[in-house]
Amino acid sequence: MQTAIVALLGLASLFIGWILMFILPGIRTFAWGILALGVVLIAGTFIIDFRRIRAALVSRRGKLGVSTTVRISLFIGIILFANAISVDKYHRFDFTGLAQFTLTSQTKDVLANLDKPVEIVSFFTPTVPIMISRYAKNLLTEYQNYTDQLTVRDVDPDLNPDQARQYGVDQFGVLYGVVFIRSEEGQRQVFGPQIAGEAEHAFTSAIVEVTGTKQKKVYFLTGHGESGTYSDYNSVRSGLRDNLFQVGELDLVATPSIPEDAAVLVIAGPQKPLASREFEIIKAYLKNAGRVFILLNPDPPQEFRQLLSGWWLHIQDGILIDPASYVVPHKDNLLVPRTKNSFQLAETYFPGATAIIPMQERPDDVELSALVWTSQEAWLEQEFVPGDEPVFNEPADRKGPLAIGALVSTTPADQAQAIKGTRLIVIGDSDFATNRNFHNGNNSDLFLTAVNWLAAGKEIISVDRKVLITRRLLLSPEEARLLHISSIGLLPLLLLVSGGYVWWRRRRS
Amino acid sequence: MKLRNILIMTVILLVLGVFFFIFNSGPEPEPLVEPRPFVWSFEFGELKKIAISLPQEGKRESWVKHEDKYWYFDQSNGPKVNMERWGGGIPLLLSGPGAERLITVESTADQLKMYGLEDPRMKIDLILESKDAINIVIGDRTPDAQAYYVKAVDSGSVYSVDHTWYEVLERLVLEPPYPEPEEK
Repeated sequence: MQTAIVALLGLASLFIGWILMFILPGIRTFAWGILALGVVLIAGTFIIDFRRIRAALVSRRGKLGVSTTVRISLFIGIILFANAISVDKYHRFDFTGLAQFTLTSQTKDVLANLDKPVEIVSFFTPTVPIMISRYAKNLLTEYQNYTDQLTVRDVDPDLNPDQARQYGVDQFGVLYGVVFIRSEEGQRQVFGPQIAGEAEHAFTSAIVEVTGTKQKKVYFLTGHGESGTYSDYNSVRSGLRDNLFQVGELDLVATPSIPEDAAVLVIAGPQKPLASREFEIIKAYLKNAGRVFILLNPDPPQEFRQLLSGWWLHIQDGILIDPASYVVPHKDNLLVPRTKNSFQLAETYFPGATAIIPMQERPDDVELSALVWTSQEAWLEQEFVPGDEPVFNEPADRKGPLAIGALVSTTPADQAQAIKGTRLIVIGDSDFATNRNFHNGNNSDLFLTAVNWLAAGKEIISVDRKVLITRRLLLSPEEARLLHISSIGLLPLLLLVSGGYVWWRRRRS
Repeated sequence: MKLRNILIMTVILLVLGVFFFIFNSGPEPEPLVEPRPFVWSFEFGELKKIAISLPQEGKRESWVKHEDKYWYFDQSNGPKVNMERWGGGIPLLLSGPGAERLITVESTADQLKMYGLEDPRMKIDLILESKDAINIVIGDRTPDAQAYYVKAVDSGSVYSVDHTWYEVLERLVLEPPYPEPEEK
């Protein structure tokens, strides 16, 4: 009895000592003392009652218990050491669909195709946040794994002011850190704040530019209530830049014409009319092998209808309703499957779209086709009230299938590289590409593929974009019904059936 | 007892343990916050004479501490310095600036040229009560414009010192702290 008490006290001391060691590191010495006491008490128990303990250990139960304890301890020890080793030494396998945690495929392509030497010099003082300097260093080391053409150097401008002067490092660059990227065709700087926000894009764009490859530029029209690339189209902007497009805004009131370097002009959800001068500029641009992407919402300003009628497209008032293919629960939130998408993109959706109606009579050399379209059950609703169940009313409502988006081209539409000729894409919804919807379904793919198709043949860069795997579950009515039934009824039914089967087998036996 | 399993696990544990102790450095220790180095240091009360010159501008001023412990311009019948500007701050500044960084321990001739110390923009000559002399040269601004390169003449080390320290001393030469009329 007494030895049992001593043993228990010893175990308690060990336990308390371990706890104190971890939760109160300030009294570590005291904790060690308690641990030592525990060891002494346990040892004392062994010595005092050695024979009984020995007999217990060599008994069958004792051996089993000791074996189990030893194995558990060894297993825990292995786990602990394996974890401790993996803190410093590890390799990461990225199984995400787009290799999201390694370099993007665009960057890898750029580096793999690099055929000119590029010098990268980082200027960081110790005062630059280590998050920036270390991140830049690690990223550039990763870049070097994909090409031999990069040489990377680190320079402390305080220790080497002559080199800082030679490269033209200014005060801002020294304070916040700057990376110079230079090659035959020029030099670019990437500053610390850019590194913190978008290092890979900045470095890759700079490498592309200094090696003489010209990036395509997409201009977004402003001044008519369009979606802004720094506000609700910010995701679009990031997506375009990830694909090595440059992005700019264009105000045709201030600028007399579409810039020469415009690969594509995007008009995203205008709410106000075009001025007559702006109208003429865009009309002339289109006529002169322009590339335009127009995203309209239901009931757009008249000038845009007029512009599109010059390209054999008609915009009728109303909102598209598709009871056969919509994102539950809104029937005006059109869900378009791969089979109704000429880019063959799976599952794009349009929260509130109007129809783009092609005119039948048009020149033979103009290709006009639907880009995305509805099911046959859809219609263009004239009196849609949100919240109310829409009802098809002939003849006011127009029956489907109807195009949500259309392609117009005076060059072969299936030609990837088309240097000459006009290309126009019109989609009857701009909300599908706003920040809220851009990364869902394949909406981002639709937008970026459209821009790529429009820009094809203008400049050198053409990087295919991988699909960003959707993270949001989009359910058609049938899928929603199946999910509902299966989650409520299927599992209990399975249990019932299997339980019944087991009961029946036992009864038989 | 399943001795074989236990032995296998023991071997695995020993291998991992050896690997860990040999190859893992463990968590990086917190970087020691080194105390700011001083380019030079002495008690400011020991300062006896100060001379500051701007060679590139051809200007020079000097001051000396008299028996009354006040500082006077070091000229014949030199007036007392403007106490509002001088206070106890100037001797304190000159008693030893805290350096922003140690740039190099042993500078070469090329480095002195690079840091503008070969043809310095400011020279400071200090004489202490003990007759010891401390001579300092100040070179170019650092690239971030937040500091200047500073070196004690009899030392090979170059430091960077905050720009405000330099600017206060420069102003003593460009706008000497003559007393206000009523102070005279």
